[in-house]
Amino acid sequence: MIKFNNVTKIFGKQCALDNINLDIDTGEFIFLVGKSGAGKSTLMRLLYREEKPTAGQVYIGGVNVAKIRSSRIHNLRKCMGIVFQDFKLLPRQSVYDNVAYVIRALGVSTKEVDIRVKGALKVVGLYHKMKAKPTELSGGEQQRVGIARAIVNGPPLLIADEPTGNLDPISSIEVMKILEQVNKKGITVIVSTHDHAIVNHFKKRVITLDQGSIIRDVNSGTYHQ
Amino acid sequence: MPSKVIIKELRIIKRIIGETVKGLLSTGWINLAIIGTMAAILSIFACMLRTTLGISAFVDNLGNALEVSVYLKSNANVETVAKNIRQIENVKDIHIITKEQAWNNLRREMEVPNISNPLPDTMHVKVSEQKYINDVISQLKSINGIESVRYAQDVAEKMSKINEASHMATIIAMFFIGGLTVFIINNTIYLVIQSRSQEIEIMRMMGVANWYIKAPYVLQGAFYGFISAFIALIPLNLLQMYISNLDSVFQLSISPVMINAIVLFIMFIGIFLGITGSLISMKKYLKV
Repeated sequence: MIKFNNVTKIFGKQCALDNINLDIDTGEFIFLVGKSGAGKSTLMRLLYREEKPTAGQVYIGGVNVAKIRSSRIHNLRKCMGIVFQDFKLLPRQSVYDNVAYVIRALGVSTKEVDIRVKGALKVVGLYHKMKAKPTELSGGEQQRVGIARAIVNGPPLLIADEPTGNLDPISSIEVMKILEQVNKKGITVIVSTHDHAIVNHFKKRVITLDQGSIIRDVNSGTYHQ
Repeated sequence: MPSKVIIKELRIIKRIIGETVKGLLSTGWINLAIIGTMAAILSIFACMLRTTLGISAFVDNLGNALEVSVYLKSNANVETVAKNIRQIENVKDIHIITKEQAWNNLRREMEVPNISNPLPDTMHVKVSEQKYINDVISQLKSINGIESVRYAQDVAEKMSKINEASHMATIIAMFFIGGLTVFIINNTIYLVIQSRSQEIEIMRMMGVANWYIKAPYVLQGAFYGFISAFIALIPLNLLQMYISNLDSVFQLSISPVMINAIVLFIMFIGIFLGITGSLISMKKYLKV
């Protein structure tokens, strides 16, 4: 599904990614780990075409992402859900409206929006809080709203950049369980994280980056082994 | 099914209009300041444009009204000279005043001593367009039997210079006003964008098309331009009425088609500048 072919990304004189080769199959669950500045976020930004590689190619579903015209990037992003570390929720809108916001903009009918939003909120266990404002929710709950928003359009790929970075350990486990549940529905999930406990607990494929290079890629791995 | 696609497009348009209204409401009283400023700027421009076109019309009318006066030598044959003048290209009409007519007219108007008639035969020559006057004058001078040719050249040249200066002032004003309007819209839309940057970021990341994100801001800019241009038509109409009153003295009137063209032009300029200001703001501050 995803292929990085000799991908290098340089910012000024700083090499963020150095000759990355990577294959990710449909339905996989990936932990992307490494220290700050290792290149995790850059790798993710290349996936959703916020950046272009300096050299090499990134393919998603056989399409060279760098070749997509700027005016067509939205078609790529429609095929993926993105979960942010800082949740990026609209504070004055309800949980329901936060999840519905983007699919409304995509022209989905009110009836269809209702079905999809309620479905997504059930997946993340927040159906009963659909009328609440984000400020009334805990950090873990806010991130679950973020996940509901990411999956509401039924994407085949979900990218989560440090989704538990702002959460306590219990909330982190809850959020990760939801991502695991999403993955079981066939959605490919890529999670970047610093959190040793989570990586060790879920035992998924772990790709370790260091100074822009992949130094380890193991199935059912832990943070260090 | 095409009908489903149309319904979806209509839903998107409805949402864009909704977002535009939301943007306008969130801008609050600043809307009035923007529209007031833009309306004042466009009013100045509209009035300048109308005045310039009026001056142009006046200069043209004056040029056409001006006649070339031709004085014949005492031994010249009036009919022969008139025939030669009629053969000159762009001569529209000749009015002949024989020396006897002129003398009689003079004696009617004032008391003159009983002397022999000193006046020459005179012809007033009208030219089809002002631009041909110099050409006609030079040909008149080459005709046998003509003593002298007179034309109020100084007046025509001065009017022509005023006309050129007003054209230039309008063009300079257009650029200045254009820049100023774009600057105002640009900064306003930037403030709106800043206040909604998180919504825009989310939409960008979740696959909403750039044109959809831009559309409400572009419409907001166009709205400012349209309303401001509409308000600018009030002083333009007042000026039009004033000019109509002056018509018996100065012929500054222009055709109704031209008046409508000015109205449409001001509308177009207002909307165009509003949209341009928004687009610059979007491009400069958002990489969408």
